Amino acid sequence: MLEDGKISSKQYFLIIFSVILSVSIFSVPAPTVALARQEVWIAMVIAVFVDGVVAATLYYLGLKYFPQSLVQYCSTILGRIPGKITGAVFIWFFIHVAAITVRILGDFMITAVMPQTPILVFAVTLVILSASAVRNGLEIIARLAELIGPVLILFSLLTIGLVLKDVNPDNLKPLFHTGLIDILKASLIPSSWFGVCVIMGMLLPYHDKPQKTFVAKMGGVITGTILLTAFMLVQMGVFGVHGTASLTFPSYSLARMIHLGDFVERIEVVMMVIWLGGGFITLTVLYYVAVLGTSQLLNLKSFQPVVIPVGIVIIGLSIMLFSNHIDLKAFINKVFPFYALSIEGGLTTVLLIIALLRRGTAKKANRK
Amino acid sequence: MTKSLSRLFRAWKRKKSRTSASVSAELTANLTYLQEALGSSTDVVIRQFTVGSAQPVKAALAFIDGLADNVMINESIMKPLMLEMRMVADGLSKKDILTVIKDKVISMGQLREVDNLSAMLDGMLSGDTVLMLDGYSSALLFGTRGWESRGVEEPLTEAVVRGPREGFTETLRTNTSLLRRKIKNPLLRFEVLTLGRQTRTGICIAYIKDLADEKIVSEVRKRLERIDVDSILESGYIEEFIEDAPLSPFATVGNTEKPDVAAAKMLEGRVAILVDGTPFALTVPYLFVESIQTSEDYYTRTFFATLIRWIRIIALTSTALLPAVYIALLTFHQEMIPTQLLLSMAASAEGVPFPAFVQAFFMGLVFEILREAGIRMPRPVGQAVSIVGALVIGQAAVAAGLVLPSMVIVVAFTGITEFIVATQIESVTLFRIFVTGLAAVLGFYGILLATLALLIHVLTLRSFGVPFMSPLASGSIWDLKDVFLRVPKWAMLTRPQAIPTNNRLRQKPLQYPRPPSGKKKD
Repeated sequence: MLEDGKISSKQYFLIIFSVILSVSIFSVPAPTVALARQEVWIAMVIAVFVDGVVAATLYYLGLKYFPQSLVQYCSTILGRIPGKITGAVFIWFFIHVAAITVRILGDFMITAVMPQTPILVFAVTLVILSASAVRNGLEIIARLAELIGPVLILFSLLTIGLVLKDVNPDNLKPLFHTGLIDILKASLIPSSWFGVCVIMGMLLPYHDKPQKTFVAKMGGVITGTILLTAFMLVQMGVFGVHGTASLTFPSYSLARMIHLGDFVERIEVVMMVIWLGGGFITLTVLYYVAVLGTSQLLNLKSFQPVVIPVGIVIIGLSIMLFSNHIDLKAFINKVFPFYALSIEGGLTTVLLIIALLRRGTAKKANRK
Repeated sequence: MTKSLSRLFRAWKRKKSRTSASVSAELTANLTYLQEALGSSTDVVIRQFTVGSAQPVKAALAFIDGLADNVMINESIMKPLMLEMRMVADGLSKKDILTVIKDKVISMGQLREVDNLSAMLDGMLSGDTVLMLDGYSSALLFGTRGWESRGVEEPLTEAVVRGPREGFTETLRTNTSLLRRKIKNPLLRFEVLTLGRQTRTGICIAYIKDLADEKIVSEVRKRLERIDVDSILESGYIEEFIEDAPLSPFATVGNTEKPDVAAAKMLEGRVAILVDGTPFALTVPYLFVESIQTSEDYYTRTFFATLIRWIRIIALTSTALLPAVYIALLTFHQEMIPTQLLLSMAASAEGVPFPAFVQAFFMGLVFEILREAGIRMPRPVGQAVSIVGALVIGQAAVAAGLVLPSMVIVVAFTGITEFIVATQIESVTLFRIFVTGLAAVLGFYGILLATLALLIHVLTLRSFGVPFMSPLASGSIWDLKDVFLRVPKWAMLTRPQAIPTNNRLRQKPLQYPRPPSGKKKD
């Protein structure tokens, strides 16, 4: 067995929650608010629904082919060669998203906090640290999420609570003035990020109670969504719709608004460091899933030899994929939703349909 | 080099398999053996005399002066043998003398017959007295252990305001008796083994049979039996041989100097290891949260105990991170410092040429040097050290323009908080250097990196199969009742679930104190 560890429902919940909240908080608010305006919450509800469909698909497939992971049951469903290719597509997707995550985190650091430092510093340090966690296996990552996840929840609530006094309720009006098309377009952005939880398909076999995976996963998604929506509403309340849409990192600017007494102010760096900690979990989980998938695809006995090569690929991609922040932003807003959803939603649906068809034919064959 | 090492190693292995001769029927042969084995050490006493009056038998009594109790030897061995033996021995044949001595003459509790010379020698070296009789191929060992030892005193570490003040001593037997006095359960077990080829140190595994998990006990036994070394002078010697993570800065074996602490840990299903010659007992499995628990938490009232827990958590965090946060603020994130304070700090920084990290590093170094000097110095000199330290650290360094006044405060505060969680001093000091360095390079991001690296490391640690960080990460959420809180005794129903045990429930549930039920309110 590649991985002997088992994770509990609580750990599963916190992993999914960290993945949902921590990177989305950098990439989702500005473009979503720009499109959906005061109706972001509808867009978020749609996103949760879309993600629920993906989760249900993966849950069904995961239980049907139980001890196998997503990459492994691709071959069972599609046959050897097409299955391997599909598995490779998923692995590429994990690596790609991991690289984008590194890029988002690094980009945030050089844009907002340390403009003089080369982005390579952040990419390399994050990935090296992540690799050391990945080498130790799933249980360590799960425990890390168990330690950092609650801190993430606590500080998110703290940020929201401390800026509530700056919220201008008029900014949240008028309600229901955005067209359905715009809302649907807007919902693509969060749902593409929520769909990253296709990692669920890889982690399901390691859940100690696989039947409860769906509940744990949706719990994580819904908790993350509620916090993220609260963030966006508060941002709109503080900065207005246009303000939020035009800010590079609205959440960062929001944390800047915190004033407590006359001496606790400008603590946005502390808040951001904690979100970076959450982002680190996202990166680590994606990295781990990519490593695990690769070794399953290649039928390796241990995933250790794959860790360093995958890490190098992630560092390289994160630097080379985008030339600057504008480039990254354009990709995330315009390309990523379609690209990601076609894999998260499209490919899994294809898998489901073929699996159902094959079961149908198998039943017929049995009857004969 | 490798060749000579392997030769040494083979020689080491050969030495182990030496066989021992049995006690000879010739008294002179045995005495020669003793003389050869012990040389002409002045503390070896061999007293030759005869037993019986009609057919006197030559006998010799041997013991080590200082280890054996002289009064006991005189009163309970020599006197009966030389005086009372005459009354019984008149009609005795030579054959029965040993049995008669054993069964009728010697009035001592501990007595055993050995026929092996090396066992005899071992007994003697532990303070027993040997009686050899001419014509018998076995010797009698009397338990006469009694040497000068420190009494049971209040330990210097782990001081308490409320709670038992006795501490372990250097004598293994005293220590086991202290434990036995706390736990009068027949299931309290002491397993003894001897380790160290030169020192032959007695090691005792103590546990409560129904509470401790049999797997952990046998794992402890296995790891101890694997040790094959020259000497064991302190429990630290075996700690490094039985650790799960020998190269980690974190200790995965706990130690305590107080019997009540050891007993409490054994009552939670842990295993204690007592080592002869040291007042420190080891306890395994050891969890990180034990470092913020003290015995007094359980003797004081619950709310205050919980408050103190939190103060310890804050102290531990600030001693690890405070210098790093200070440097990150000063170097990268000046905007977080309130403007007034920033201005006054900038004013005082006017004449200080060194960057914050250099200041912190050297002040930290000075503090560690003073601390070490304070421990090693003879007591009377300690005063001088503290005065010099206070002046050097406090006043002179600031006046001379070497460091910022605020840096002095940070370093001093860090130094003091270090002692609040004394068990983690070593790991925290190392981590502080690491995180301060990263903070100087990368600011708060560096602190995040260092903290994540630390978390990844501690999360991989295990102590005898139990995750080191449970119940903080992994494990039951109910175990937090004794981490962030210290719930009242009547609510502390179960033993910590992190430590495997066969007996989960600690007490009868629902014992919340109520007014007497017979009375009615009027």
